[in-house]
Amino acid sequence: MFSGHCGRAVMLAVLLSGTATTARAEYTEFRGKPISQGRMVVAEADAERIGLTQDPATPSQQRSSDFVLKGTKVDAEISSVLARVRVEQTFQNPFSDRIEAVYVFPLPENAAVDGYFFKVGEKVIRGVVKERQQARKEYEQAKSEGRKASLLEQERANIFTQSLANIPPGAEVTVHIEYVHPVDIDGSSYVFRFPMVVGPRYIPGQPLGRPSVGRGWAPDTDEVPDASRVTPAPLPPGKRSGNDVAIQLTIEGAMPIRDIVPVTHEVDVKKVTPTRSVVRLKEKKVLADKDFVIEYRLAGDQVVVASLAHRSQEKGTFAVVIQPQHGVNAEDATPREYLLLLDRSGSMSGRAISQLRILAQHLLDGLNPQDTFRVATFNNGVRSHRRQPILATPENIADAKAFIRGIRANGGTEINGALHEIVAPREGEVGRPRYLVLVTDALVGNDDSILATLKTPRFADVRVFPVAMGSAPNDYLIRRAAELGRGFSLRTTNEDNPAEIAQRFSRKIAKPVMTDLEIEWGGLAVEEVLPSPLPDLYADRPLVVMGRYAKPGKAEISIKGNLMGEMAATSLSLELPEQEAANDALEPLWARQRIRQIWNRQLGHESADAKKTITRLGIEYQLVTKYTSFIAVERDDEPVLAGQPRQYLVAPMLPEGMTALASGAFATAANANGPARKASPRAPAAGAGSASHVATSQPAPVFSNSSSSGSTSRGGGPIDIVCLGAAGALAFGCSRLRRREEDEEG
Amino acid sequence: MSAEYPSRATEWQGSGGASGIAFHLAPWTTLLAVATLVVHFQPIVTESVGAPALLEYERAAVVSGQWWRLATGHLLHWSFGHLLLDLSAVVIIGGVLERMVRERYPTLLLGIAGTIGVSLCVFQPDVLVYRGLSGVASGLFAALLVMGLRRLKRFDEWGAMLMIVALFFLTKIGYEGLTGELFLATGTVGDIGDPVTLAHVSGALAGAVFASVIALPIGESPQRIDQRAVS
Repeated sequence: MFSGHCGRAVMLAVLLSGTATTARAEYTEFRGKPISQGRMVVAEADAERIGLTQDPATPSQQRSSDFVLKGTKVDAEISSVLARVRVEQTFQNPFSDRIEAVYVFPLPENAAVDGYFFKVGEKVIRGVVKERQQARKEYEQAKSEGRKASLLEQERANIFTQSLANIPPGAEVTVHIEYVHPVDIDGSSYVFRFPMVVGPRYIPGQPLGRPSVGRGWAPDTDEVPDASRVTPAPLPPGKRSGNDVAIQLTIEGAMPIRDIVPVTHEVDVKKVTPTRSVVRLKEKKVLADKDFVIEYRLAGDQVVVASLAHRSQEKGTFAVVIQPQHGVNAEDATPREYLLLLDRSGSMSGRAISQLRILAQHLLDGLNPQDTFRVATFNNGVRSHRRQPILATPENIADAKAFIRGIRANGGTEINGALHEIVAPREGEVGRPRYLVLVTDALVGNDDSILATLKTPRFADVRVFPVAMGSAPNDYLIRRAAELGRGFSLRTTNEDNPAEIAQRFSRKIAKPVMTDLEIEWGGLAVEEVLPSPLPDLYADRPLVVMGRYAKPGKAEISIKGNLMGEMAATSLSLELPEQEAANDALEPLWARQRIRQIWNRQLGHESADAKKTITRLGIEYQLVTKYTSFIAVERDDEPVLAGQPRQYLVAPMLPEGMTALASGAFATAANANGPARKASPRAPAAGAGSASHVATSQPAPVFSNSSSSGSTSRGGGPIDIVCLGAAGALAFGCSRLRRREEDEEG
Repeated sequence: MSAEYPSRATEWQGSGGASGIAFHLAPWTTLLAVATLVVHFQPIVTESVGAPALLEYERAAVVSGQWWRLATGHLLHWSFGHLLLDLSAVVIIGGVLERMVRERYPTLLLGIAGTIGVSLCVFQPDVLVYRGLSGVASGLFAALLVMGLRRLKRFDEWGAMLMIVALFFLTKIGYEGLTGELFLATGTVGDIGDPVTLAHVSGALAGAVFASVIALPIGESPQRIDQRAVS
């Protein structure tokens, strides 16, 4: 039996052990706040293993002035349905040596990047598009000669690498990138989006027996041969980069503008005229940790059917926006089979998984009783609610909701396996249309492999509706999956109400689809019309059709399609002018659309012909593509120094709301699947004998609490280890008191 | 169920191994632990969601008349880590407390669990689904603290320790009640959304009140309660 002194010693030990646990700080704090639920932490050992820590060899980089990427300035103009965006990235060299800055960053996946130059002082060095290998060669040569040079390469349709060589000590260089893209139209809303961060991606596959081609944390693998180029090591959680973002957006509407809705950031809106407004971020400098999304509507409550044209050369380019005029009140009550596939990988941890749970439950509420459904979740493996689709009875739905509420986020993102699992070959009934709703942030490196899967015969009778989650989802995979799967995609930001998004989705999906779409051009000599073939047309999802013409003219064009077994038609007037200087963005957009189509066709079997055509289009229209890059070299000045500069990799922030579990999960999942998936523990490798740097970081001075506030599925919070110690102390003390009392009485 | 508690002289003479002894000493605590584990692992083992669907605190179901969920919702947890921490606290405190209040323990337990459920339903309607024993653990903590303080006849080293623990607990509950944030959170249990500190606060209040008013009627000494329970 313990003596009194011994008991007290035990008690003190128990109490102090809790304190010690706190003070020992085995874990990293998250965003400067005490660790609690929804703010997952990562052990420092793990953080080091997955490359989240700073390079201990460069302590001087702790200074905030040491940030190489000083800021990003965005100036966007929207006219009609086209947005022209000018991005200015400012790099500064705070070191005493020349450096090469390498920055992996996102752009919209449908952007046609057609303008590029860099500026040193007042001097402007313009870029030209060349074949990728050639551009890289010229860049490397300029770099070794000590000339200032910049290179813009495309890794994915939405991921680009900016390399900037020989920034002199103390100098500032600004890189200007210009692109155009059509704005998204959702019902009566126009949506503008500017992505700011490349989220950490899950890399499947086995390592290749060669050095990696890039400097990212993941090695190249057989499934993602360029993994190291799309996995920039992120800053540790709670740390911010020096990249302050300023955005200005000018909206020029065909009708008076109303209802400008800031979705993700607070903005100031200045109404210049009824049809022109200027939107600026309320904070002059925001963090580059999530997409900027803004919605607006025009008077009239519906999208103005637009036709645009441009002609300055032999061939002109046009675009028509086809707004479905059907089925506004109709509902297609055909019983359907819904396959709900939910991402529970580590990158979904934090706010995204809470949003997913709510969204998925409300999606089930949108089912009709005669529909069947099946729910499955995936990370490294697949977990199904039921092995076969079941009827959407209230009992089954309640049961499935309980299953959904139990979803926790961890592990990898094996989408391919999950797709094969849930879209099993049919047994029995075959007439029921199959709708696959894929809810995910799509943060993977094997985008094209997944898209190729969707093109296989197994998915021929499945319509795919991806729903993007999180603050910085992979837009490329989301949109292309919808395109190849003949569905449409939706986006849920961390600021959205997922219940509303689910209801909106259910309303849209209940509307009939116009299939077998055809356009009769009324005698106009149009050619190279895109997309080809025309996709199905969903209610509230206008379609932008583009094409070329050699001969001007004006005619009434007619759009026909099959709507629930009946022929439906709508018409609009299209004028193809002899000369039109306006809308010059149409040409690069058409070329980009053509490249997109070729790329989609060659998915799964990359062909030399496709590469050749894409390269030709890229050079002809001066566009950055997978096979063409912008290169700019300062050739006027005599190079002052030879030899390789120190390389500096700009580290992105973790996307807002993503906890460290996400990045930890990537590493964990990797470890579980062999060395290929193991997150690289290395600091980015040295370049040609000179030291490289891991990007610097500093505690965030201002950070919004973006954890799971608003989540409706919650817990009291686990008993803390300190409280557990106190509980032990209390229990022991009370037990001792009781015994002493009994001893005294006895 | 009628629990037969052993006297101190015979309390280690239970049979049936560790589980038998545990049941012998603190049957309700043992049952609670077993039930919590069963409910947690049932969906994993059977690949169905029977227990969560039936027992989870789901506000809509509660409002529609499924009152049991107010109490049974605490048995479910978001992850094994969540369960492990919560259940450890309940077992540590509950084991001792049950030995003190004996057959009144289930009443105390139900009172705390029910109060938390009702509090969530009334004061925090935005919480549609709730899981976890931490609120109950807070309630049991408060109840044991009350019991311990009432047994304290003189301010000695044990008294000092109880005071320290009481101060810590009051600070924790006060902080959580005022800020809505967890007082301390040095463990990591995975994603379970924002904590509902109301569960801790209401649980603690319920524990203190039930321990004072129900389990220990005013005017009756702890010794008499124990003696009456034994007899």
